[in-house]
Amino acid sequence: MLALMIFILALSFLDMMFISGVLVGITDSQMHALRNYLSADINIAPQQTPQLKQYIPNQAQLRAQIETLPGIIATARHYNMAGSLSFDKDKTGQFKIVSGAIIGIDPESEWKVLTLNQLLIRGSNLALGDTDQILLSSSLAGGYGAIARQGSDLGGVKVGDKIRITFANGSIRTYNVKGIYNDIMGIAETFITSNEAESILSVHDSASHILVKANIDRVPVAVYESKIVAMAPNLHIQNYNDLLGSFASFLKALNFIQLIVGAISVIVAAITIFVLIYVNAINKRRQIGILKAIGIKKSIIVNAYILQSFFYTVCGVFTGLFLVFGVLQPLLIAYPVPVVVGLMNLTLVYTPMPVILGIISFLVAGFFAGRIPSNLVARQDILKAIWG
Amino acid sequence: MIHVTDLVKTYPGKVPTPALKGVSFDINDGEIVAIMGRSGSGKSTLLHQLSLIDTPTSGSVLIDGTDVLRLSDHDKTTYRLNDLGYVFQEYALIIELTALENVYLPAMSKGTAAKIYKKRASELLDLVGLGDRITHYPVELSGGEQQRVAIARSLINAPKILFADEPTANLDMTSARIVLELFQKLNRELKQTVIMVTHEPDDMRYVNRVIWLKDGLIEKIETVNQQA
Repeated sequence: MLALMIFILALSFLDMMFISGVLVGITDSQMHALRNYLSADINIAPQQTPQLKQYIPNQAQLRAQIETLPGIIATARHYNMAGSLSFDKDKTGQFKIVSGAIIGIDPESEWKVLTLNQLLIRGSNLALGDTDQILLSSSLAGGYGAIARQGSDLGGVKVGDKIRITFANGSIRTYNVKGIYNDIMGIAETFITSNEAESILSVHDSASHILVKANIDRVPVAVYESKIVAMAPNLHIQNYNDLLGSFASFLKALNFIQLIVGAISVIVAAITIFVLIYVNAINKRRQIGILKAIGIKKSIIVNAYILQSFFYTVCGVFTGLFLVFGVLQPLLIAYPVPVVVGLMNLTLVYTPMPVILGIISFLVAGFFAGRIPSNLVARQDILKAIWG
Repeated sequence: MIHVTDLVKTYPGKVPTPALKGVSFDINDGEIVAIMGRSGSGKSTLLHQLSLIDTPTSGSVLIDGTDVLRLSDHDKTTYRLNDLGYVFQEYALIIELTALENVYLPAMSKGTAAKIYKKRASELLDLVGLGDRITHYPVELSGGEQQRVAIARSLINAPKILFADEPTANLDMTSARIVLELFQKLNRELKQTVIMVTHEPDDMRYVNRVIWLKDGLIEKIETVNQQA
């Protein structure tokens, strides 16, 4: 009976920890992916007021300045352009056309900030000197198991194929597909080198955006952000939290679910302990009556049951902790279960504070779940308790 | 000295049941008194009121001048712990505890030092003839032995009065005799006041006086042995 109750409590604790761990894991993976593939930690855009500027001037000098800040890992620039991509797969003059964003990058610095290069599935990555090469997303290329674009792909582009791009400024150029990356984020962007972008846009040493990667494990991103704002007060600077958009409401929903699941688990555990202690106290009602009759104070009797309830709770919590950190977490590391292939595995992620709060919630639940029923029984009239 | 005046106990209900209808008597220190009468005469009810495990409807009980019925619940509990001992009909030991632990439990609750209460509990178990059974659990003891452990427990805090509710009812003749002789011994050696409920006429041999109850009233108070 004792082992069964401890096991039930351990499962309640595990339930709370598992769901919250999975949700934190999902949030963590999403944020990680967002920062690594899309937004970086800080995004610097051109001046917006009093006059909207298209580019950030003297980007090299600004980036060099930013990179002197302690904790900054790397910076990269983007030229953001729009255009339509045309591909004649069967060489029949029948072009398939899709529109999309074309980003000019400096490959070497780019891969230090955003790691799309790690998602390459065909060919090779862009290099600094490339002018007639592009890096294409799998969702635009078509095939490769990419997130479907419902007919808005080029119908099956391979490495080495030629793509004609008509840029928004009217410039038309033809490129070889140098590599295709796995578009797990569904961004459908095409990459060219910054040198090529500058020749199309007729600009020099500028950028549509500067992306900054910082060590935010110890120093909050807002600290870096404020330092960069001080360096370039006229530019529009945001951190990745500002760029979350609709993802922020998704995260809020996850946090809410986590809270509800946690609360339900604590309530279930409290009810379990309550039933256990109540049944136990009812079974020992006569004994409680005798104890009261021989002068044992009610508070001592109640405290004995609270102690018993605490014992069950502590055993349940420790068993639960062992199941989470000793069994499930290592098991999921050894045998990953993919949630989104290539992007996210089922992982249990914990920070100390929620774990401590979970343990405290269980102990508090154990205290009250032990106190209430024992108090109910210990309050009974002595003779009624003894004779029923 | 116990001075009981006009003690009334009526059990509430749709039809209130009077169990004691106005009982008055005195008991001197160092007496062994039996409360006797037919079933339903109110003897156990009287013992419960005197021992503070139930509350009478009216009347007063003065123990050494203290009106114990006027004490708060908390103070009654403390009074039971410090000044009264109670022996139940069915031994009423805690089965998870050894004989020694059962005996020292009330002293432990009182806050007595462990060394002292363990020594006294051993002495009391010696006194009741169970010095060699202190580590035994209740299930390992006979009914008579369990009752003697219960008596030792009731004495651990050196009570002014020892109450016993049909202490021999569940015992064989030999065990019953041992228990009653033990009460006599306690009375003789420790001047212990003992008030017990019994329905066995033979038990009268061991007491000084008998309070006979009938239908919730005292029928007579009989002095049977000046020195029991």
